Amino acid sequence: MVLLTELPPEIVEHILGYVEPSDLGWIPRVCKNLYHIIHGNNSLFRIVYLNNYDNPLNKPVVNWVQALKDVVRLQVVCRRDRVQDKKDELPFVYDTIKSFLQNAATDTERSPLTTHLTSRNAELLRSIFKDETTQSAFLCRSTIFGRARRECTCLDNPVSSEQTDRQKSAHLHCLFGVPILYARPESHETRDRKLNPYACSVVYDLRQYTENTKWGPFMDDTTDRVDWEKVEAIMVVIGSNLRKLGLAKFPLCRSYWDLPFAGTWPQSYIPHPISREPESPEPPNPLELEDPYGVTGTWLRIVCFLDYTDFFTYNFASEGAQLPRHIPRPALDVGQAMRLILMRVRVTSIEPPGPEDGQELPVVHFEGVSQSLDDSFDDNANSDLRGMKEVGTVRLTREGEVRWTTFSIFNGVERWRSESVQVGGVKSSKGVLGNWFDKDFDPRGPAGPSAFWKISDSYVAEYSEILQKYLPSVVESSGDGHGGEDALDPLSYGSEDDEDEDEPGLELEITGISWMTWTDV
Amino acid sequence: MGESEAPPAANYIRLQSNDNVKIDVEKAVAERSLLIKNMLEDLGPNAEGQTIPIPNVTEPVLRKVIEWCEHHRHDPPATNEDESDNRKKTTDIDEWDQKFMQVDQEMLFEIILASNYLDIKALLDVGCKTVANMIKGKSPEEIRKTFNITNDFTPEEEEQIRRENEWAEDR
Repeated sequence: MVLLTELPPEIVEHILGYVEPSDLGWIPRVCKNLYHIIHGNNSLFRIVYLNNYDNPLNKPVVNWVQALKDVVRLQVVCRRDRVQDKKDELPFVYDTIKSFLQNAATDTERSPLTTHLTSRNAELLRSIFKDETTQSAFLCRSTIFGRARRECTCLDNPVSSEQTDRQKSAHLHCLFGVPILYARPESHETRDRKLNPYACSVVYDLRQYTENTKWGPFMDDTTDRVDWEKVEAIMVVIGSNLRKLGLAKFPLCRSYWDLPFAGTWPQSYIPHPISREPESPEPPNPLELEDPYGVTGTWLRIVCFLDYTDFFTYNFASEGAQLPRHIPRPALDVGQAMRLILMRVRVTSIEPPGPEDGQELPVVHFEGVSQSLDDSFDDNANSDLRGMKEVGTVRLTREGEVRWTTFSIFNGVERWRSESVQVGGVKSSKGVLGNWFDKDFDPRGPAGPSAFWKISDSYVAEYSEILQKYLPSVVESSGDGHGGEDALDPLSYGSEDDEDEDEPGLELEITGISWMTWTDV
Repeated sequence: MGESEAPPAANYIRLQSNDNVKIDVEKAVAERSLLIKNMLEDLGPNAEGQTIPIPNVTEPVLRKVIEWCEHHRHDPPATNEDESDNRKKTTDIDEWDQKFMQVDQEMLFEIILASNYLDIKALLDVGCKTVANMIKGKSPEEIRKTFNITNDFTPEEEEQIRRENEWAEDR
């Protein structure tokens, strides 16, 4: 009788091409014959990898054996029961997730209701991180989590490995992309430790805005590396505001703030299909074909801010105002306002990178208009008059992150500036997180968090057309004046926000319109 | 299907298994095998009425293979699939094939060997997937038991290989 091990080796290999990735760690232990067929067999590991995960077209050279082993080990580590049994694996988990996302799909279909591609890698990470102990072990290790848990912050003794861990955890949290709003996701009983006030104490602390950082979410040194703890704080503040307003559950925002690993990898953006008016074919702009960042189009932007009196008091006139630089300001729990803005921009020029930039990609300049999605949604009183001019640049930092700078111009005068980082890399659908501030770096502020992400490749569409086609969720609703939080509260996310009743107010700067579901085309 | 010496009917060809059993098969069915198809093409008009020896395959296995080819006679012809394609999850087997593959292990391996020899890619895939499904999720000991394999490692080797493969350890 023929035994499995007596089949010709090419047939055994063919069979093994269909097993699960983890099986490749077990089959070699069966006998010598199988051991020798599998050991170091890059092409077999490649077949099994491609059968189960995305095809990494961005990176044609992959060590398939190592890549597959790492992903299997990631799952093994994350299946452990307790947070303390996982925690020590942070460096491995960080490296593996980063490269697994770098290798995520760029050749698939659009994921329904989103502007990003489907990805088996993202799907797998999503399932791994459903486990709250896994979230806790790897996504909740930054300074703000430590402060919210009232752990020793150890700021007087900055051990560099701890600092590295905090950065890695914050970065992973950003790639996860759904802000975790409580300090201990694994413990359902002590959900009182809210993260947002600690995140606010970072983003509204002017001491974070320094010359070295150019007031963006960068390290306070001359390396222009991203400070992921700052990016994380921005994500938490904007995310909790979106949830508080019930906006995070709408498809328009959901794929950015409610779905883990939604488009947090390079080239994940794919436009939402719209029926273009046939009579207005855009002449192809050669600059756009050369722009590696996919700038031209319509972006949805969110800007959050404090009442200036609160901002000033917090920074200059409160108890915490006089704290030494290395001590964080106290948790900040006051009302904020949020503005939703449509930013329509297009490429104006492309230059080679400067000596301070990452050298792999050019610097792209753009300009356009920003329009607040605010009161009296009225196409006749056109928008362009109310909008402000927007100019800016995209470039790579020396460490290879995508950095956006924008200037908002009122009546011909530059007024606001922003510095941001694109989460997930070049052309990620996740979009950018950063800071806005006075363009002259006014030492009295104001400043705050901002985010924008692309909703359409079309730049020219009319305001009303954009609203109807990309935001069919926005419909006119007459007469209820300020449709702010009261109108939106019943829709607020899940049940976990039930305890929010004595929260400070949050004002949404959309009036006269209400939000309904966004149906896919 | 007969073993008579009368020539095969029109559009039929005659195969001869390694145990000398002659089986008449519709030409279109037999051509699921690229080996046979190419052979017939080489023979050209002379193919008519020829007996084609299949020296590596015994009668029961050949009959089983023909049964599969009959069922799949209308499938699109096999293409040289591009390995670099981002393939879908490929371990799914359709229901008829699953039933078809419910045979003892020896027959299963014989079918795989025959389909390899006869160059019937789709059948080879189904056979290999069936075996893979018998391997998946099993511990080394369970695999040995399933396939009657002897553990030929020394304890030292076993320990070394265990360490090499710790990345998958959770079973």
